[in-house]
Parts: sequence; C-alpha cells; structure tokens
Amino acid sequence: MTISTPSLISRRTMLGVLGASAATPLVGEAPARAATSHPKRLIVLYTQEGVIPSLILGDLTPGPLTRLAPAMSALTPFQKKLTLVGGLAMFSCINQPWEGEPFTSAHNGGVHLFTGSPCLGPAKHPKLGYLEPAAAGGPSVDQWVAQKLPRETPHSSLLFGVSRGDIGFGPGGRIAFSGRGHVGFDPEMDPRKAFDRLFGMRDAATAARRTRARKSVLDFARRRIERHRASLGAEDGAKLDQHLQSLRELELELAHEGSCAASWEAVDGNAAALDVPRKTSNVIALTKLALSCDLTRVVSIQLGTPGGYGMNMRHVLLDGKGIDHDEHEVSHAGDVDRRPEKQLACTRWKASVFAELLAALESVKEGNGTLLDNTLVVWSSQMATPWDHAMAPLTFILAGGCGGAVKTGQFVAYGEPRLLKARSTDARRVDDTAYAAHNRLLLTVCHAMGLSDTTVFGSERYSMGGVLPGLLA
Amino acid sequence: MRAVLTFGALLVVACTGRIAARDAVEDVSDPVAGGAGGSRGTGGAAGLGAGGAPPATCRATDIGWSPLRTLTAREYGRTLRAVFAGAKVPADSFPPEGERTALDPSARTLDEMDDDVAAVAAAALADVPAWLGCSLRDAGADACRDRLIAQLGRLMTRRPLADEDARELRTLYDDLRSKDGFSPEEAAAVVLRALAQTPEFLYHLELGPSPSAATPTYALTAYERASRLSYFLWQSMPDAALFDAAEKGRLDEEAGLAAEITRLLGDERATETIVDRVEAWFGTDELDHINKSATVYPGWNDALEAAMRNETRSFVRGLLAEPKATVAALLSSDHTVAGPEIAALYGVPFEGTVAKRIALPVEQRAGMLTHPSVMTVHGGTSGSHPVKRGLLVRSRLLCQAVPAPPLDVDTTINPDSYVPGATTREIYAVHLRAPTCAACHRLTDPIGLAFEHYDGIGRFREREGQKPVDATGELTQTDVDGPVDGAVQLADKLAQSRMLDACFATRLYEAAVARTGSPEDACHVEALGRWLAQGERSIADIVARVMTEPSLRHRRRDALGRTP
Repeated sequence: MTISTPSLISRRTMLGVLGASAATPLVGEAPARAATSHPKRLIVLYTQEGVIPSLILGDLTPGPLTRLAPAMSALTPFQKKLTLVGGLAMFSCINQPWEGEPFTSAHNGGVHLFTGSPCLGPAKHPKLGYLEPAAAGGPSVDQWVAQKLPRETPHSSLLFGVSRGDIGFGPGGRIAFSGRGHVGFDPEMDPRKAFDRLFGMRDAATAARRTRARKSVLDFARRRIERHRASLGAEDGAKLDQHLQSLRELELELAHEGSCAASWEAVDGNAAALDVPRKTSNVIALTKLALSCDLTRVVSIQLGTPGGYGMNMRHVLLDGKGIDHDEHEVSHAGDVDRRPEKQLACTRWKASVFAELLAALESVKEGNGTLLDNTLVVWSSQMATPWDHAMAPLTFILAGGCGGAVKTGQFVAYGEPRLLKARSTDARRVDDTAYAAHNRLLLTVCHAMGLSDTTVFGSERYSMGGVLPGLLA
Repeated sequence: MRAVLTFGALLVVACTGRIAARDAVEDVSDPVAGGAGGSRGTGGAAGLGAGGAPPATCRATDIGWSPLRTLTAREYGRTLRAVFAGAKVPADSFPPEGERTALDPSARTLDEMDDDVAAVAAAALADVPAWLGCSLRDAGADACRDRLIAQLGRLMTRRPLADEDARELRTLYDDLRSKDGFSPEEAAAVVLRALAQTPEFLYHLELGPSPSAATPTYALTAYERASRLSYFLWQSMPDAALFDAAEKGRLDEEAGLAAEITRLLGDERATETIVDRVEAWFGTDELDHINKSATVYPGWNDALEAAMRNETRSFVRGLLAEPKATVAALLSSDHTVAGPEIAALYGVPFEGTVAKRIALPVEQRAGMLTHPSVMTVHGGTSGSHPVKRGLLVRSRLLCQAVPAPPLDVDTTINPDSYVPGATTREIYAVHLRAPTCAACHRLTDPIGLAFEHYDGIGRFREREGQKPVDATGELTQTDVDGPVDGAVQLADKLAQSRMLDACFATRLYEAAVARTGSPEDACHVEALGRWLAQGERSIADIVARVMTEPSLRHRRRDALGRTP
C-alpha cells in the first residue's frame, strides 16, 4: 500500500481533526494499492450464549439461500453474500476426557471454538473451584492465519472486545490463542485506546528520536528476557516466548508507524448511543478502517465472554427499546418465563450487529467489488443451545467471498439432516458420524485464506475428512 | 470408609456424570478429618488424591509449581507510584491503579505501559536534584548518572542491579547523549523506560540465588521473599525498610520475619488487601458483573450497586480494626456500616447522608452473610436463586466444590413442573424430586433455601407473592450439620464451623502461592489446619501464619519439573 507522509501535526492534536487532512488517504475509500488484486482478510466474530440453530436457521433447508429465518432478517440485504454452515459439532470439547469425566462446560468451550484443540489444564477457578482450562491446546484460527500469512502489515492481527465488565478469569474468558499453552489474548475493550494506537500520529521531526529510544527500550527488554528464558521451566518459558513475540510486534509497528490516518469522529459516529451498542459500532468502524487501510488482515471481535456475564441486554436497544434481561440468566434457569421471546430478541440483536459489520465492509470499494468481497467473516459461539451447553449441532455463519474463494448465498449442512436443528440433549451420545467436526470448518477457513498447506486444524482426529465439501469455490 | 474432606483439600462432592448410578452422598464420614485431633480416614480427598496419613511435618520443598505471573494492573499502578515516590510527579501522570487482573504482556499492553512510564519519567526527571540529590548537568553528572542507574535499577527490578546491567544502561545513556543528541533527561528517561520493560519489573520473577535449570525446586532470595510479602499484603513493591530487612538477612530469622509481617499488616494497604481477599471469598467483587431485571427490581441501579459494595468493604474494614477479629465474626456481627440507601433496604431508620455504623435487625440479618451485596451477587436476575446461595456456602465458604451441571442436563426448570404462582421453593422442589438432579442439588438447595427471606437484591421478605416464606433448610456433610430455619440460624451454625476458617486460610495460601489444588501442597495446607484447630485465631493471625509458611520460601520451576 502507499504510505503517505504524516503531516507535521502532533499526535494529540491530530486526533479528531484529521478528517480534513488532504495529505493522508482518508479511509472509507481504499488507499491505492500497487497491485490490482486485493488481499484476503479474515474476521472472526464471537458472540456469547450460543448460536441457537432453531433461531439462526429457522425452517430453512439446505440449498441456495432465498430467504432467512425471522431472527436473521437484518441480514436480508446480504443474503447473497452469506454462507450458513449447519450440522457441525465441537467434538474436541465434547469428547475431551477430563479426570474421568468429559470436560464439557460452557467455560471451556470458548477455548475450543476457534482452536479445535483439547485444552490444557485443569486449573481450578480461583473462587468457585470449578475446573477451568489452564491454557489452549493450539492456536485459534485467526491467530494461525495471522501467523502464516506473509507479514505485510504493521499488525499481525487486531483483537477487539465489547463487554459490560471485564471478561473474567483465564483462558475460559478468551477466544484468541497464539498456540499450545497460551492463556489467551485480552481483547482491546477500549475503542478510543485502540484508535489512538492504530491512528495516533507523531510529527516526523521527533519520529526518528522516538524510534531510537523505542528500539533501545525493546532491545534491553529482549536481551533480559532471553537471558532468563533458559533458567525457567518449559511452561514459564512459553510465556516469555509470547512476550518476545509482542516485542517483535512492536518493532514491526515502529517500522510502519504513521502509515494511515483517520478521525475519531468517523469511528464514534453513534456517540449518543448506550454503552454497548456504541462500543460495538466503534469496533466495527475500527475494523473497517484497519482492514481498508491494510493495518492488519485479521481481526477478532469478541462480544461478551464465554463465561456469560459480559453482555447485559439492558444496555442494547432493539426496535428502539431496551431488552430487559441478562442473556446469561435467560440461558440458564433464572427466568423461566418468556424465554423464547427473550432469546429471539438477543439473537435478533446479534444479527443486527453482524449486519452492521457487513454493511461497513460493503461500503468500502475495492476494485470491482467491495472489502466484504475480499473478506471472510466467521461468526459463531461456543455452544449451539446455551441452556444445556450443547455443542452440537453447531452453526457457523460465514459472510463475504474471501476474494472469490468461498461460494456464497447458500446454506450447507453436514451430518444427519434430521439432527440439523435438533436440540441435542446428550452431546456425549453424539457419535462422530452424526455431525461434521467443527475442526473441518476451521480447516476450510485456512484454505479459503490461502493456507492450503494446513491439513490438520487442532485435533488431528477431528480434522479427518479435511476441508468441508461444497464451501470453497 | 472414605473420608471426603481433609482440611484444605478441595472437596469435590462426587455427584458428577452418571448421577443416579452412584450415591456419593452416603459415602461420607468425618468431614473435618484434617483438623488437629480429628480422626482421619484414608485422606483420599477427591481434589488432591493423596493417600495415607500426612507426615507430621511437611518438607518445605515439596510444593506445587507457582506459574510465572505478570503484575496485576493494580500492582503495576502501585509499583510505579512507589518507584517514583521521591519525585515530584503530578498524581494524574500515573496510570489508574486498576483492578486485580494480571497484565497481559501483549504488544498493546507493553506499548501502553511504555507510554505511562515515559510520561512519569519525564515528570520525575524535570527536577533531578530535588529527586536524587544530584545533577545530570554539572561536574558530578557521571556520578549522578550512575546513582540514577543503581538506585532506580534496584527499585525497578526489586533486587540489586547486576554490574553488567548497570554497565549496559550506562552505555545506552552515553550513546543516546553523544551519538543521538539526547539531553541528559531524555537519555535518563529511556533508561527508566528500559528498566520498566524488563521481566524483573513486569513479572513476579523468582529466579533464586543462582539461576540454573538444574534443580526443580529452589529457595528464593531474600529480595524475592520480600517481594512475595509486600505484593501479597500491599499489592505493591517492598518499601525501603523491607528491602533493608532483606538485605540485612532479617527475613531469614523467625523474629525478623514476624516483625516485618506485623509492620506490613499495620499499614492501611494490608487492611485493604484483606478486605479484597474477603470480598473475593464471598464473591462480592463480582458485583459489577451482576445484572437484575429492571421490571422486578426498578430500584436496582449503579448507585445502589456501589452502595452495596461500599457497605461490605466498610463493614470488613471496620471489623478488621477491632482487636482479634475472627472469620466467624464476619457471620455473627450484629451491625454494619452503611448509608441511607442500604439502611432503607434493611428497613432501619437512618439520619443523615454519610455511611456510619448501624445496628442490624438481628432477627432478620446475619452479618455479612446476608449483606445485600452478597445476596445480590448470589441471587437471580428476578428472584432469590437457592442454587447460587447454596453454592455460596458450600463451594465458596466451606471450600467444597460442587461440580457444574453436566452437559447433558437441561438446567431449565420445566414450567409444567409447578403451578402458576408457585413460590421459589416450590419451583425448585423439582431439583430434589428428580433423582438425576437431586444427587447434586441436595448439596446446594437445602442450604440455599435457608436464604428464602431475601429477594434478588437482598431485601427481607416475609411473604413471596401471597404465600408466607418458608426458609427452612439443612446443612449436611459439614462439621455443623443439622436443620436450620433461616439465614440467621445458618450463620450461627457456620460461625461454629472449623471448616470456615480452614477454607479462608486455604484461599489465602492459594493466593500467596498463585496456584490452587496442587497435590504437593496438601501437606502444607493441612498443617495450617492443625494450627488453626489449636485455638481461636484472628483474621490477622491467619494472614500472618500463612505468610510465615515455610513452603512460601521456595519455588518449583515447573509443573512437571521439566526444563526447556
């Protein structure tokens, strides 16, 4: 991409006034790229409390998409760019033996969702005494793709989160993992901070000195970490390796600094909204800017947390009204009344967020198509139905053509059709032939992104069969 | 016969999986076997799996792995303030103190921390003579540079700076000055930023006296032990006196260590930390994650939430100010510290607007156990929630873990199982009727139902709908078993339980070693239990005893003893 010279305005003054700067490519239209082809991008979107098959799929039957389930009506404008994938199961989690019992709670499903790997552990929840995963068993698909793609952007990936409070203890509250033994990345929960980090600019005069200082700091830290690395055990050492990776990231960022500009006003267009929708919109705007500006090619968005308390629906609006309940409580037994309506409302809200994301990507023209056409968006949750923590039948909602790699406008289902929308009441009775392992979907994502060397994703056993048929063009 | 609880061993009450096939609950005897004088069974606690009687003394080197941890956001904020305590840095230059969540050494976090330190360092270096008593700009500049490096190096790495590190920083400083045209203050700022990015600053890095991968377990240095003490008690770095005690070897002597612990405990930061620990034990630190139905509880809002949390913190703080305050006193107190919002919730008249000590209606309330904060956290969105409240007692306060519902259980209560207008007790009755539910739920619900007088935000109620509240319940598998009617009676029983102190001590030990349920630690935790059983112990005694635990002087390199 072209790198424009930052104008001589200090970083802080720059913020908020940049909309009018002529020197920098304004995002919203793609910066000119030397090549005519546009890079492929990947977005993974996590929402909590399940993607409930009966709501997501309604009465659809596999085949070309001619309509959508009522809960998904917000996505109607993007029907031709959607791919619904049904009939999957999270076998890596369902079948992971754990001290003699399958270790299948909603609290570790988040670790499996995008990794497909049995998690490490157990660790005991510091307060509740539950067994929780101690770390992921492998990389999440977003991080794997970020690691494997040629590194041409300042950020290998970006992680955003929206949650009412923090996202909770340990790996169970996270969705993105660098590899085996990693406890999970904290998503950036403060959109303004993310903005400053991505688009904050410094004047050129001090940039060289700043870089010199910065490099000295990073070098000193790296040498000391390398020195201690050898005397620590394997698991502690892995943490320091992660730290070293962060230092390398920072060095790359230094090299790319100031390559893109934007205004906070453009990001925070919905400043009057309630906290959750405002931050969600901020994250969507940041995603659009970062991708269109080629600051990164991989974005992970975590709405809520696998632990379940991240999202209070009272903080969102649907049809102009707040939804008066806590989604986690609805999922469990807390409110036995009016549950179907409440779950419908929650799913409709999530579909509207997904539609907002797709609309943002669609608004950026790239060549004859749009940013959405060059992106693969992957949305799911660690459960199908939250009330029984069932991890089958799991649905993934894909959107975007991924540069022509993915066939869109269809609903593809795997496994036994009669089980497609069934509520699994005993996931442990799920045999491996009734559903397709979600590992294969993750593998398919890798291939869509051009990583055709990846033949196993997460668990080897559940990668058998390879890329799912019918999804790739 | 199988003794299910050894003290401190986390009891996993065996009701998982194929519930009905195995009746774990009958399989119980002598629930406090681990306490001193208590007869014990085979000691085969489910959580630890250790067999046989414990040795009379534990070897301090038989310990679990303490994973390498970063500072928490709060520790980081406080440490930064402590490092620059002698400098004139405007308070708002520091990052906020933050929460008790560990920093993630991601690129983003490291970047933000570097920005923080750059800002603070610039402010501190604006007047070096006032801060360090020397000048980087006159004849003594080199000596001042060396002093800055040695003094700040020791503070920021929390141990004496090795000569080679001092040399490296000196070279960096000189190069920035001579080759890059940095001013003395700019060069010094880079030195401080570099120190702040070291693993010694960012992590609880415990290398022992001679770092090597050869031995799986090693003794900590006196400086590392000083850091364990101060971070545990103050959530901050050691102060000058504690460093001095470490340097002079006083932490190696029993009396010297005890004196330092007493001194640290006398500081307000230690009180606040104990308040934090009590909050974490009861779960009230999760209050800001809690959502309530606006329809059922229109009065529930952020202000009430804050008032609830303040009440609990103020109450515990006040209790700790009393001599020899015990864990049991948390549950038997007849007063609280609250403002008008909470007093209204208690139905107690209140004059004024400022929180103060008020008497509780003792027929209705049982100290902290029935605090609105506790009842709210362990309550439903629109109702009381006997399961959560049963878990509060069983799992949190008595350290008996009850497994989460198995995957194949639909935890929704079928509306056909009760009549419209049924009370919570009637709705939850299905848990105890259905054998598959009952195996676990009889461990929780009979305790939780004793809280039926408190609604989802902790208001007392005589009636639920049109029906009078029935708050009868029962404690089982504890050392204070028996029927109770209401939470006041429940609290009276729990206050007599030796398991309560033991559980609190276990949680403290786990926090101090940053690990939970490690089989190697069972002996040390049981030793704590024997000590507890020898007499009445105050909360401060328990904290001090945990901090002098000999196993805290050692570290295991790795969970599996592997080397890279």
